[in-house]
Amino acid sequence: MDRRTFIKVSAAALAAPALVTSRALADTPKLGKIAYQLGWVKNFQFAGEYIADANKYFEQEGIAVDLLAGGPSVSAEPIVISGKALVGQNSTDNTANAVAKGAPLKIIGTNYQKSPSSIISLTKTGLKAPKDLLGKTVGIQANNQVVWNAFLKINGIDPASVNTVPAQHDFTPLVSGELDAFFGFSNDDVVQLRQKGQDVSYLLMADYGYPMFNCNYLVTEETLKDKAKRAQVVAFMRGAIRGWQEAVKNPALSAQLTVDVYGKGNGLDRAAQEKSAAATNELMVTADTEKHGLFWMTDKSVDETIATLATAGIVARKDLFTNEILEEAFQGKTTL
Amino acid sequence: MTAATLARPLDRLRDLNWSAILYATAGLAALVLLWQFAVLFVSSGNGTIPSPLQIARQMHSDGFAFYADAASYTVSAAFRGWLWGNSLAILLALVAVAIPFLERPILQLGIVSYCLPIVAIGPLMMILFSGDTPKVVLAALSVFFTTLIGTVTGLRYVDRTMLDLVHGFGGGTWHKLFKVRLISALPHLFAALRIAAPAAILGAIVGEYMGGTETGLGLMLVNSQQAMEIPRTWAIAVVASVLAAIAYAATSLVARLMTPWAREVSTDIGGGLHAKAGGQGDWAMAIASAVGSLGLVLFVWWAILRGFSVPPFFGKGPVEVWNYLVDPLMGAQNRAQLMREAVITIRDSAAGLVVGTVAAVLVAVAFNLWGGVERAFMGVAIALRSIPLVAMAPLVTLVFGRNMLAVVMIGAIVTFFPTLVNMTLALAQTPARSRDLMKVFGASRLRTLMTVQIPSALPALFTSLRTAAPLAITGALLAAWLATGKGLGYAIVTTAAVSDYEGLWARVALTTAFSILLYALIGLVERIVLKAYAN
Repeated sequence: MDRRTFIKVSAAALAAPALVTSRALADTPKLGKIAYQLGWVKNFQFAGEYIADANKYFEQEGIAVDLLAGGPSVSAEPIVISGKALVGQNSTDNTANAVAKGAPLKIIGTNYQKSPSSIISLTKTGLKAPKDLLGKTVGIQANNQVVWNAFLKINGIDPASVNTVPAQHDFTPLVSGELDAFFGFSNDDVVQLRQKGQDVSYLLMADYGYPMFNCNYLVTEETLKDKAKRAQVVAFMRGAIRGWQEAVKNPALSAQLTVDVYGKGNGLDRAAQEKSAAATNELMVTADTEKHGLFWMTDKSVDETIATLATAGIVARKDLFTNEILEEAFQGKTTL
Repeated sequence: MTAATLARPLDRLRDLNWSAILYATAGLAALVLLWQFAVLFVSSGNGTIPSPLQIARQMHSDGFAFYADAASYTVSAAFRGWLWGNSLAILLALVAVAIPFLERPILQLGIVSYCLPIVAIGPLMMILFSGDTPKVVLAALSVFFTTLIGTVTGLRYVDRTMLDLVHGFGGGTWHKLFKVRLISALPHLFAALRIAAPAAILGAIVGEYMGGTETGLGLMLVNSQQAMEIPRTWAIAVVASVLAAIAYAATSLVARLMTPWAREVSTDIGGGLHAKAGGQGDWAMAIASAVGSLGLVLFVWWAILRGFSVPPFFGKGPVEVWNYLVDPLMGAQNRAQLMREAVITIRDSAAGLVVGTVAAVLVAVAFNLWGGVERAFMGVAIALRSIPLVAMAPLVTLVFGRNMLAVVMIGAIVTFFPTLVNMTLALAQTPARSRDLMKVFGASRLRTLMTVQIPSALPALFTSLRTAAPLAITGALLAAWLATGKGLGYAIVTTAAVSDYEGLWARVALTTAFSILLYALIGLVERIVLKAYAN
């Protein structure tokens, strides 16, 4: 997820054709082939899509999907607009900012009903509430500066009373004691730190006046209008929903596919990935998704998200978000 | 490059200096021991600084294949980048020398390619290209300029009598180019290729670190950092520097085999430009060509955005950037903001350049006075150069903090290496006759150094300064991202984070312009100083 980005300028590469599974050679599914730009390097965060690929859900929906790895300097918006990927994933504030600057994009569903954005610290630091941040040194990635400022504002903290310094996605300065707190994800960074035996606590921003869904699927407006492309997006989302339904039930499978297949050879730890996958469930599955299905964005959560973005100085209109693809995908059902 | 020995390549190989290898091993061992003891007895930063032993244990438990698989992917991209970057550089160098009219624009574009902030350009590459092409292009960009300049310099520093001879026998430009210049350019070319090899590897790793890759050392670095696998993060850095050292050594070996007549030649980057621009200053011509070059750069900028149909939402051309600066509503505020950031970046670059250069000159002098030290630590210096700084950021901020000290250290680390290599070679190349003369007159080693060697190494010092200047700016940008959060470097990432792409491109253009100006400024000082010395 590009929250940890330290050089967030833009976009990623298409996976080389050679890297696409050989299935693509056999026969192209009836709706053809698309690319999905992931929001971070291939880790547990995209387990649903791995399962949809491995279990041939995408194929059964009539589509072939290239999963394009993201990373610290990759953001999905330019990639999707340039047409290198039909669908992309990025955080709400990033996409809203891009749209405010004229990017013709729509958010068609969300991975996380509740944002995992957190302020993480060693438990012994005693950071129990936002006010404890006064006088502390906090590492914030350039990409999360906007979110951080809004969080301080909502909690009535003067930014000048906190020493904010740049950070990347390496939490070493927290452990070495150079920094008191760090911006990270509850389902990822917190799990990784604990896996390494660090006693850490975190303030989940969502619990402190910062409600926002996060990590969304985005497409261009033109894609929604184009009949063929729209059918591809619906098929992709159907596959993704089926994959994520499975992932929610089976964190071990998520971890296995992540470590042994899609992120193979890149040094991911199976136990940590499985714990992260399990921790992701509480962000994805809520009363709202039980009622409407995964990825659904209720009116209430859209309103809350827009209000939160406004605090961060980002103007987002309600029509940035649309459930129309999900409606077509679910066809009145709540699971597939 | 007179024929020093006529030994055949294999003889040359045989007298590979075994004592040099011994010294290098001793230097490395000393460093590793010092490191081990520092971690054991001084500080391990709450367990965040691994000792060499811990790193070795990590590598052992991960197994050889773990690193080899990722490294082979990285090396493959680096090698293709090396091949493309160098081929293009050599080709354009030939064109520049054969068609003098094209020389200046070619060299100017080369300088621009060298001065572009990679961190802003990398993501653009990911939009322009697919697969691992962005990494290949970044590796190619990392080698292009140094090889271009090395080749141009080599092609030009040819023995005049040889050219006259070919001319006398009726040979034309092309004969001269292929029969004389190419051969005599080889030592300079190899000097450039030698530093190109580690640069290509570092370029590929940085590209992978930015994302969009399926595997590779850079991606492994991202994962190990995030998973707090600290010894593995360091192990990856070790693997990167070992690869770079191997690439450097292999190129040196090939150079020895193919150009047995050549003594070591300094990398001499920028010498080519100096020779050309050093003539009697025709100011009108200089200004005309500067304007022409600026126009060329702006055109290439525009053409790349158009040619690759970069989405206009992201890719802002010269016109949009100009509007950003002169906008009636926000222009004044934008300019003031840019100015504030620029002042910080200029200050940080200057500090890094000065400290890095002074340190490099002092170490080069130490190397010259005590040959053993050079042989022991040159290899270490080369290996250190290839460590991706992003991997070491937590160490840098832990040890040096996040203020001016950290800025100076990062800038110095980035500029130190090329100056050290150039100055060491230049001090060693003082005409033997001058040194013998000093000896005859009973001058001390130090006196010879001060009165003969250092003055004769001055051109190399300026060459080094010019090479280092754009690097110093890169260092200032790095320091902003990694440590301070102030200046153009940080603004480049924050503008990108909020999709303020006009702001981003304006800063990229400004940073590039600074690099070029600093480069030109040093060239100017160089001419003045060298002229003063000549008189």
